[in-house]
Amino acid sequence: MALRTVAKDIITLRGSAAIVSEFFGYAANSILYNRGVYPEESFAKVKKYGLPLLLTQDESVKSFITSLTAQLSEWLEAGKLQRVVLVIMSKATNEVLERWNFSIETDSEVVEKGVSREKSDKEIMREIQAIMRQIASSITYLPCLDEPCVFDVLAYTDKDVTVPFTWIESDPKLIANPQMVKLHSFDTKIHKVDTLVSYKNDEWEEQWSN
Amino acid sequence: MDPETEFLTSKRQTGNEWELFKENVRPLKRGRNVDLLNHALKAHTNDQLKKSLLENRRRLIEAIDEYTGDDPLQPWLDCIKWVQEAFPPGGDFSGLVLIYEQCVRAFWHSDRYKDDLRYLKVWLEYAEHCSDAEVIYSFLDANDIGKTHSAYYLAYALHMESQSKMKAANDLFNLGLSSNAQPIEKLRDAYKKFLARSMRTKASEEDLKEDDLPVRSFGTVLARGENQRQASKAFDLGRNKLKPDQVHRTPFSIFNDTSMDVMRGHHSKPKTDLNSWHALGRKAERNKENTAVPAKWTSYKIPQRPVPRTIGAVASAHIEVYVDEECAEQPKVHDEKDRTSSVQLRELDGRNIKRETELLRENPLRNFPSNSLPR
Amino acid sequence: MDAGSLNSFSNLKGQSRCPLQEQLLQRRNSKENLDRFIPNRSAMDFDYAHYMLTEGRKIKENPTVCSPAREAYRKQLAETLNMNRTRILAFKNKPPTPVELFPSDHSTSSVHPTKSAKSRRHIPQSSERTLDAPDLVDDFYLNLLDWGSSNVLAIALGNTVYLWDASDSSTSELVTVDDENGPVTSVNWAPDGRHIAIGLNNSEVQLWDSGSNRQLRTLRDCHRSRVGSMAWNNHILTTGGMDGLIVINDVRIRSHVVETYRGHQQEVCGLKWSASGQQLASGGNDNLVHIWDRSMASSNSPTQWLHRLEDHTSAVKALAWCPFQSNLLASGGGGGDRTIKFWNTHTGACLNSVDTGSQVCALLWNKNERELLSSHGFTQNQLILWKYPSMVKMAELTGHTSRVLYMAQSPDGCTVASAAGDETLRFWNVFGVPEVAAKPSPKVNPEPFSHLNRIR
Repeated sequence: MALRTVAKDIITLRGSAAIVSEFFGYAANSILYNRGVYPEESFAKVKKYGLPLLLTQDESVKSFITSLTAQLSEWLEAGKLQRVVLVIMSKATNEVLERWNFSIETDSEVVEKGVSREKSDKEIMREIQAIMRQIASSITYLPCLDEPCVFDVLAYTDKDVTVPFTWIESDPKLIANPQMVKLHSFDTKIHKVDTLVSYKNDEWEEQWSN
Repeated sequence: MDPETEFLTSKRQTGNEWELFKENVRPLKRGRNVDLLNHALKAHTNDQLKKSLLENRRRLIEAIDEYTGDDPLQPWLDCIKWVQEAFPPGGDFSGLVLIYEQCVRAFWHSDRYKDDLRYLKVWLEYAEHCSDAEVIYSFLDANDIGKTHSAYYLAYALHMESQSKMKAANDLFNLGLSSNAQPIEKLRDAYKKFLARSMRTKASEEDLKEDDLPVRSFGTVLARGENQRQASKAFDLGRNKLKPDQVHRTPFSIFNDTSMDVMRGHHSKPKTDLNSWHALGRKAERNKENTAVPAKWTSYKIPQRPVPRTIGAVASAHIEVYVDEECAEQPKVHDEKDRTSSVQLRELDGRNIKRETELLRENPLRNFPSNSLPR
Repeated sequence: MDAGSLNSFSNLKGQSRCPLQEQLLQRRNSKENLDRFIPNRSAMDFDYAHYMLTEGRKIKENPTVCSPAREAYRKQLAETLNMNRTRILAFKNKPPTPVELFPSDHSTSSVHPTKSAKSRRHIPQSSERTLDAPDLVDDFYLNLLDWGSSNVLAIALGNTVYLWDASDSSTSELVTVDDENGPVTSVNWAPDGRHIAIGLNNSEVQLWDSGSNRQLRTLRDCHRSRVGSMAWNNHILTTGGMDGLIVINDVRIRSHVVETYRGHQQEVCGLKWSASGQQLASGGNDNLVHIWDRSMASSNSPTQWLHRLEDHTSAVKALAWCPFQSNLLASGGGGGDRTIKFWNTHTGACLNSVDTGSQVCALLWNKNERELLSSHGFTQNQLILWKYPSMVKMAELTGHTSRVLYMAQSPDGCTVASAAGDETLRFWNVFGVPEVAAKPSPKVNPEPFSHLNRIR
């Protein structure tokens, strides 16, 4: 078996920020679809990362995610983004049921000095593909979301970031005593993204009580 | 520091067994603990881990007996939850059905737990594992267990729906609503969905009449629940499998081994030779004709019919396999085909759990005193 | 509690050995680390798992109970990590609340539960025969049952492969492998009905001659982990492994590996050659189906596969080529998918998709009629007979109390054998008999209770 030499591509800070924020957009859509936050019919199939993925066709959800990813990209370029969390809450009680954490480690040298790195685009895509698969397969252990849910997105940034006027400070919306599962991560060599999903410990009779 | 931040900073990893073996994991509505799941999946091919799992089960069962607190139901629940998660594919060897049964039987006469939702849930899950859930719902009704909860009416109604007993299902929903079962909103929502479903079913039935497609006369058609993305939801609808004894109730009971042209010279009744290692000695308890009892391997033949070449799989030309040196030098000497089996008998304990589970599935209230059974 | 209840428990309590395999493989760490999808676990992770296992339940009541090592670690983390450096922000405008629709989408499902087809033949509702199959491994990813063209059924129970000659109902043990090599993970008859391939958990494949009960060779070093699926094409034995590789072996030559197909990213659990032997279909835990074409070997294509079919959202084990229409493949999806999909393997197009409601474990086409039989796992454990191409349900067969993971068909195409984790092997006369189709249904011996037809 001959070893295939993988051609490396040049990754710039801007490029990496784009990759990560785009990933977040697709991941968010995938989560909203798989967890049933919005109805199946409101999604359309597209091809991305070598996978069939679903994107919402609901205009307001679309624009929410688009504005979000645009801002994330900015923060990523400035090296100020630490984590993005997609929070799923009960519509009726606002209780936080699930949190999809994407934590980011930024290569500060790149931010400070403007250098670029090298990595095969294909390799990055493969890594992202593995995460997307895991997101979809997570029904294996996640509790059934039996009730109508809503979602929100939290951005954990450096303290010195000026808050854009469309954003506000938020409480962390944590789950008490969560179950946690670490999924695969991907690395552009400039930004390393770890995925962690945490969910509520479901009580025995929980599904049937208020 | 919150647990998530700690987890992320620690660079800890979660095992991937849950993904590698995802098809062997039975959907659980309440979700699973991934570490326990991974451990249990690894145990499938690891003796040590398996031993530790069984050891833990034993300890949890002991804890039930040793419990001295004021909520004796709790250790049962701990045990049940753990067993559900430690045996990902489920199955007859986990002992789950036995534990359900022991638990419900321990408290059925207790006033304390009559209205306890947790206790009711044990009953409802037990029902899902049995071929005749209706017996259990009737029992709950007769003994006034869990009737203040929506869960009871919902489970019962959905079961009726799966048996195509729409009127009974409808009545149950109404009964629950008028009894102000809690939480009422959940019951109301479920009822609305049920109505929507039954409208659709009616509509397609009417279409059928127009198409002049006669409904097939044998084969009980199961009412279908929603097509849910989440596998666990499908499980939730409590649709019961059509078990042999339910087949018995259909108009066209096809009994086991009725004579068919195909099986010439074939006996119509399964053999009851108790000396055979295959017969599990359960015949005495079985009074339902349609239940297939494992029979002797040597009692059944399937001669092949002459069929046109295009249809049947006919042996192809001989393949000249390259023979390894070590195989050529030491030809394995084998016993002649023997008539009796050489399969090792498994550990009796394992057998007992399976046997008990099967008995309970067929007759979930078999251990209950007869005065408790619904008339 | 009466004394009676304690007795049943003594079985569980006294049990120190597992009811399932006693002779299962000891995990070999070195091999598993080769697969990049299994990360190296740190010692802490395993300890944590053990902790969760034994004391996990107590976590809620006593959150401060913690091993000293963990406590110190926690302290250290808290010190080095200055949480004050972070601010948490959210969008002012919240995303729209989803409106709850009443189930209207489900009408798009092409399964019409109450529609059924009139059949000219009588399909028995229950199995013809049930045989005991102790130690049958309850694992979706394996293929432990095959019915050879010489009318001999092969079944792997734990570490042993048994042969059952359906003509004279004689049973024999072919081989029992050692604990560290087993359990057996796949069995597959060669088209000659005489040679049989046995895949093992240790990644090896044994080739046996069932006529002389002799092992002929062992195929080694083609896979890095267990071989769960196999398919023959004349003298070519194709093997699919947990490593995601598909290896083409020519059993006639010493250096047996002819080619390795790469494409799957997780375990290959389904493998079937088309009748013509021109195309190979494979299904994996990565939810992908690949179509490999022998003509591709000489082409300049960037990928080895002809088609990569991505529509399934769960593992694909069930694969079946249509006997009466070439280039038509049926595939079945696992627990999160539960659909049967039909493909034109010439163009790669998906022709139809049907929701079955349960995990699809195996598919068999009827060779006599245009029908398809599917077997299922979570959660209904049933077999369903479908009319093709309408995909109307003709019968739903139950009996198994556990997932119907394995299915095989008799050489004459009339009988189906199914095996499940409930450790039973059942035979169903579901496909009928060629002649019966031509003549009307009344039987020689009237069935008992046949008058019940008219009651309802």
